Amino acid sequence: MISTVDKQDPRYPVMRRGKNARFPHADSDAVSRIEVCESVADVTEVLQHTVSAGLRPTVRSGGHCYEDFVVNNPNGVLIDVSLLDHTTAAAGGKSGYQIGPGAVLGVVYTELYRKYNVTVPGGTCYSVAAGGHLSGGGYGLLTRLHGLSVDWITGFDILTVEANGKVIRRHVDRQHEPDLFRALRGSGGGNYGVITNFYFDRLPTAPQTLSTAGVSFPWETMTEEKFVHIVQTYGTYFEGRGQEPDTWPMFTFMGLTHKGPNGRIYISASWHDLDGKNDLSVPNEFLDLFLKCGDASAVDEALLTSHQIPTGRPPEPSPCIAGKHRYTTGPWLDATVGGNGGAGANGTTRGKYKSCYMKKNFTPDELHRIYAQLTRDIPGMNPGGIIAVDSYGGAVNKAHLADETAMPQRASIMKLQYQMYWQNPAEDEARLKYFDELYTDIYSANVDASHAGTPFHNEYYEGCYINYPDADMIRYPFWPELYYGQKGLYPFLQKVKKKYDPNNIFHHGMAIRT
Amino acid sequence: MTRKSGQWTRRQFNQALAVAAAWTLLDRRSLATTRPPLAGFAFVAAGGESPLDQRGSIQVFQVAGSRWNTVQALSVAAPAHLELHPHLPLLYAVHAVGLWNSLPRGAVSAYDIHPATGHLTLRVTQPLSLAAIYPRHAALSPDVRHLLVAAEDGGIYNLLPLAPDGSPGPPTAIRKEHGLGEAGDVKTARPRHVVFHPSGTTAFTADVGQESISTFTCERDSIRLEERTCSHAGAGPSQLIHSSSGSCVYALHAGDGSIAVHRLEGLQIAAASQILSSRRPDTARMALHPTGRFLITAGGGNLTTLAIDPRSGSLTAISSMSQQQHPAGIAFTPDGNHLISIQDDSGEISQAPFHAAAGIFDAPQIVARVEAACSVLFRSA
Ligand SMILES: Cc1cc2nc3c(=O)[nH]c(=O)nc-3n(C[C@H](O)[C@H](O)[C@H](O)COP(=O)(O)OP(=O)(O)OC[C@H]3O[C@@H](n4cnc5c(N)ncnc54)[C@H](O)[C@@H]3O)c2cc1C
Repeated sequence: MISTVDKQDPRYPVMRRGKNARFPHADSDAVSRIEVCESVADVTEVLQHTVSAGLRPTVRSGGHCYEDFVVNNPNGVLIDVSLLDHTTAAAGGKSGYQIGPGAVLGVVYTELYRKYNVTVPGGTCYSVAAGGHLSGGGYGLLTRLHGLSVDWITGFDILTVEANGKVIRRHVDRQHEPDLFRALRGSGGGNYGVITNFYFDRLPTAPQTLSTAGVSFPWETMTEEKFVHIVQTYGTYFEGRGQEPDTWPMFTFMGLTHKGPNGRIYISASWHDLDGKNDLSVPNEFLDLFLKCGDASAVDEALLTSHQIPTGRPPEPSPCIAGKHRYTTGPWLDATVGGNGGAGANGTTRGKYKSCYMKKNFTPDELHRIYAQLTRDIPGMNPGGIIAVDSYGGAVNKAHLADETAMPQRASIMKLQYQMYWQNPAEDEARLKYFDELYTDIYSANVDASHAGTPFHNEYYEGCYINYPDADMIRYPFWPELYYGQKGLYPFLQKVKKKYDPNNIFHHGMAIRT
Repeated sequence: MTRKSGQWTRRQFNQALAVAAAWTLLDRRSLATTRPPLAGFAFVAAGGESPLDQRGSIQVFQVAGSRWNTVQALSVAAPAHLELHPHLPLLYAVHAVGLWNSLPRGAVSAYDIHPATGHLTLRVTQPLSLAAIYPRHAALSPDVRHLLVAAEDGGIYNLLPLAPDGSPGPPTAIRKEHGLGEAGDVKTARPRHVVFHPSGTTAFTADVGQESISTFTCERDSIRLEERTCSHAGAGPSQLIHSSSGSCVYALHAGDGSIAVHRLEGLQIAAASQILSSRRPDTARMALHPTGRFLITAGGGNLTTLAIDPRSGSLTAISSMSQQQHPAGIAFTPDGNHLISIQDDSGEISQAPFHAAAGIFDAPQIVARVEAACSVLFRSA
């Protein structure tokens, strides 16, 4: 059944917006109606009707898009597929699994675990949905061990629009429309059609437990020298030891927060126990490295990811002892689906994000800039925000996967996510400006003049992550290369786009352009 | 589309042109009349047809008789089409670009015209909707509350509301077209030209790719398709003009240079009642004389006057003047005494006196030159 939410509907004010309260930018940017679909037949009908009426469709699964690609659609139609939320075994007795685009990750993990004891190496936010997440890469705590989510996808069902405006259903896999199959594995949502099903022939076994511990350093006693030492210690590990396979079950994150009262820099390590032994020697070895950096404290209930940065009372620090870190150990499922679903998940918080793939450790010049930016006083504004440095590499960096998927970043060791959150719309302009300046400054250190301001592909960087889209980047004519690399992927995606969406029905500000 | 009896065949049409041309030469000397010299401002858009580098300009000329003095050369991104506000000193320019502020879309600007000097001052630029790339034409609604823009490469129409002072706001209605036809033989949407019917909210649009003329009702937040009339294969309708009574629509076809006459039944477009073929299939532009009695076509090596039958709207060629160059745009001065034409290849701008009594032109005079000129408008002083 299709439920239409138009401007007269009491649900409209809630359903016309996404999870990021910045969008839609203005009332005039909002959609005319939201069509909530329960089945593939519903989606087909709504899409056909929308295209035939000359209206622009945008698609929503979990509503977590970082930019305005979904709810900014002046007078258009938002096709909401959040109710296509199944997580089941493949149909027809075939082996494998299928996931609906509306299934949120928390439920996907729970269902896959309870029913089949497997999992997707996907992201950390409970309420992010498969639709956008699996279209744009899908990266999470198990990625170093098992690769990206798209590496495991073996098929899609997708509705596309033919040149004459007719909606057709396609099943896409290695044998059927292999070009579209590759494009769908990571080039980002909202480009070619509406995905109604993701298929996986097999999935990795779920870990048994997850143990997390952390260290932190207070801003009060921070010096630039110490800051550089801490951050380079982290980078050095992932340039070397962190790429050895026995370390791959470990996910780490470093949270570089802005200087402030009670502010701290966090480093956490999470160990996936696969065999019931829960040998923590790898995370211990990693965390011990930081005890040489100065006044490290242990953190009770260490943070798994940047999206859990506390907004209220900071965690209680206590002394750190080498080899004896204070782990929180719990059943893997509880640890994975626990928490509040991630910051920015409620539709009332405003957020802005940027990203960077790093192939090498931080350089002194880069760190000098990061330190200056994080210690900068901005009159009238508490910048908040965080630069989250996630561990990367491991199983992701199998070079051949760059050619089989649409995720070209296969040589990095760390992935950075710049995040900033605020509530007051009046602060939008100043915050976005500050954030842009910060990023531009940092990525002018190791980059040639023609690409300054971006982590353009060179010996240090591998561009940006399409699932963390940043509309500031489109001012650079080379922005597609930032996200899709320099080895011909973007021209390939343009061909696919032209072939399967010849009318450019599916478009947004950072969609594949033809 | 079937051809009805009584329509012009290509041979008949060419014969009429030859006869009319001879008649024109004989009578021209007896037509000398005293008429006020041309006075006003001409606005010439240049660079709108080669938009990749986004360069372009609007050149403003002060015109006195056959003297064109440059007043201003304003740098403007790919202006493909110009429109004048009917009541206010305001000029609209359609920017045929594929990117505006880094997003894939075209844009429209409004310029204040200084009443005494003709100088243009940019008032506002309004980006079009996402994917509305390379717009090449726009038309004002009769009540001047809306501007309807056709984005050719995007296959998109945008309806922009106009404030009482004429400033365009962000699009309130967007229509995305798709191709027409059966799989394997699909004609891609390329909306080229739009025109409002004088009655109000009905707009007719020529789609050079779909080979169709569409009828839309344009209201604040919708562009609703009422009807689509397919043109003959290979036609590629590229320009529409409605008769001054509003009872007919004339469609110029870029594909084969022909002109079709469509009667309107109410606001419905009937199948073509007449098709005039062109001697050379490159008829580029047409213009309606302000009296509504003549339709002028430029192209195919000729400037041709077609008389409009006031009752049926049908066309009869009555005179023709050879014109070697390829016109990129033609426009009558508001008094109908002159036709301004701009040449694609040479950039020459010429001014030809027109005698409405007989429907004939005097020899054109070259008055200015603007490289890559593509659209021209005249505003009386
Ligand atoms: C709190 C939080 C934590 C996050 N953590 C991680 C993480 O750990 N790892 C990671 O990789 N990413 C992470 N992300 C980023 C996340 O993967 C992307 O924002 C993702 O695109 C969101 O998907 P969605 O379906 O929830 O959003 P939506 O807004 O519904 O969709 C996002 C994009 O995909 C398109 N789309 C959605 N559904 C479909 C469909 N069915 N067919 C075609 N296109 C579709 C939309 O049109 C839009 O362009 C996180 C985001 C948040 C907000």
